[in-house]
Amino acid sequence: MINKKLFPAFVLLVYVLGAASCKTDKLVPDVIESNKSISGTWAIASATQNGRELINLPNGMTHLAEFKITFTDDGKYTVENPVPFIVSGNGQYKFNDPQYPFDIAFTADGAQAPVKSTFLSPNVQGDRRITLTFSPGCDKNVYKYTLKRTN
Amino acid sequence: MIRHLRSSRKKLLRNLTLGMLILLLSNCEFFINSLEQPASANAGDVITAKLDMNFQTQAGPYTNRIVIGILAPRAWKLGQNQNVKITYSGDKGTGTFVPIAANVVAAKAKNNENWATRMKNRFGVGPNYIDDMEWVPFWTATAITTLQNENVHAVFNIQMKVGVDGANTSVKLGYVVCNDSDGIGDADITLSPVKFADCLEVKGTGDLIDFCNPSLTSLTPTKALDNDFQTINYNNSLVDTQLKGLHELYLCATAHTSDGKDISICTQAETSKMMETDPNQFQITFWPRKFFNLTAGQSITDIDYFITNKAGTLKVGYGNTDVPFKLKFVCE
Repeated sequence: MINKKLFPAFVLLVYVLGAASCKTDKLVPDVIESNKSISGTWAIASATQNGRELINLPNGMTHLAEFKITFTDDGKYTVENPVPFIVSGNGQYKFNDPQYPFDIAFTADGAQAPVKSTFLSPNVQGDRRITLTFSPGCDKNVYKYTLKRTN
Repeated sequence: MIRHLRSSRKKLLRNLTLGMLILLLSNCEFFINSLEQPASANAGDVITAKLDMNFQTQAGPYTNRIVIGILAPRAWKLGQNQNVKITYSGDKGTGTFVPIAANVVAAKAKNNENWATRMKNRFGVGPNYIDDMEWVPFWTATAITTLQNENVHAVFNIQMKVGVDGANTSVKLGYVVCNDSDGIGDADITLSPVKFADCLEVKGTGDLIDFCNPSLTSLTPTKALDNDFQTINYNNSLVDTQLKGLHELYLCATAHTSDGKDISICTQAETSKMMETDPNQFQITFWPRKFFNLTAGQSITDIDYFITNKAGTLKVGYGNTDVPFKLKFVCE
């Protein structure tokens, strides 16, 4: 129970503390955000088709566990043991914004135009993951692959 | 509480008496003696079905309209464009049936539903396997009077245009007959007998829409291309196939490519083995481009497939026949 006389003083204190807490330093520090690097070899940690998890199916059916994609900092990628994916061959990749990418475009060697996928890079238990969303077959079939680094 | 029980008992008694009275007053039993209907037709043809009927009245006289409902695929639009013409002839002379408007509440309706809904609620789609059908109701243009202990014979001549959608279809059409005051009750079949015809094959174009046969296999996703993961589900307990009771099943498939080649994969290997996800429920998920080892420029238009045993000696196909199941790669 708060004493009735003390109550106005308490309210004032809360107000002052609240107002003081609004004074902020710069939210964004003066450093330049580095370009995101995804160089390295990645494998599939999770794969869904229309929300249905495929990675739990026998690998003899899906071959998802064998899939590997290697990105290099010079903008190239190579695919091993392909599965339904954004592109079917090796080629080049490009972020829409190297600092804050939210989509990634793949141009397979010999392809006329790039194919885009949304790009997310969440941290899972300290590991960076990449999540790509795309439709390799019918437009209505949406796949979401989450990749993890193999090394 | 006791008063409540008493009053509900009273209500029950009253309702029972009322029910008995209605039954006595309008007991008019129908009998479908026979149904004749062709076994096949071309899409767009007019076929003739004949219902040989008797209706008996114990009391009477009654003056009622006779109601008939026909169960058919929704896509046939039997209720529209005079796609159906029904006449009767017999002891009460000849006459015609006309469609019952959708705003007419059915006799014995539970929630003021119309005749089509009442028939659907009572009989569903009968022995058909796809619930994309409708009951289309008609009644005699005029009421018919029957006398006490009369046993009236009549033949209903039903001409209907089948398969106006042009699709290959197999379906078991249904027929229900009643009068417009007894309607269709929840349990009785003497006042509203129903009859389902044997499977009618309507030859049209495109994939067969099969209402008659249970589906041994199903696809996930239902629409896909060869660059999608495709799952084929197989139900090994639906009917007694040669594979009944077996737990090691395989996919045996032939892909037809856009460049006119047939690629057959029918070895019982790890890659074609089906997984038993639930007892007697099997499933295989594959990437058709890899499964059939396509080259870069090739694409698959459709696949014919069977489910086989481990030795590859027993095969089950479409509708438990030796005709393969078909899978077409289209998005729409």
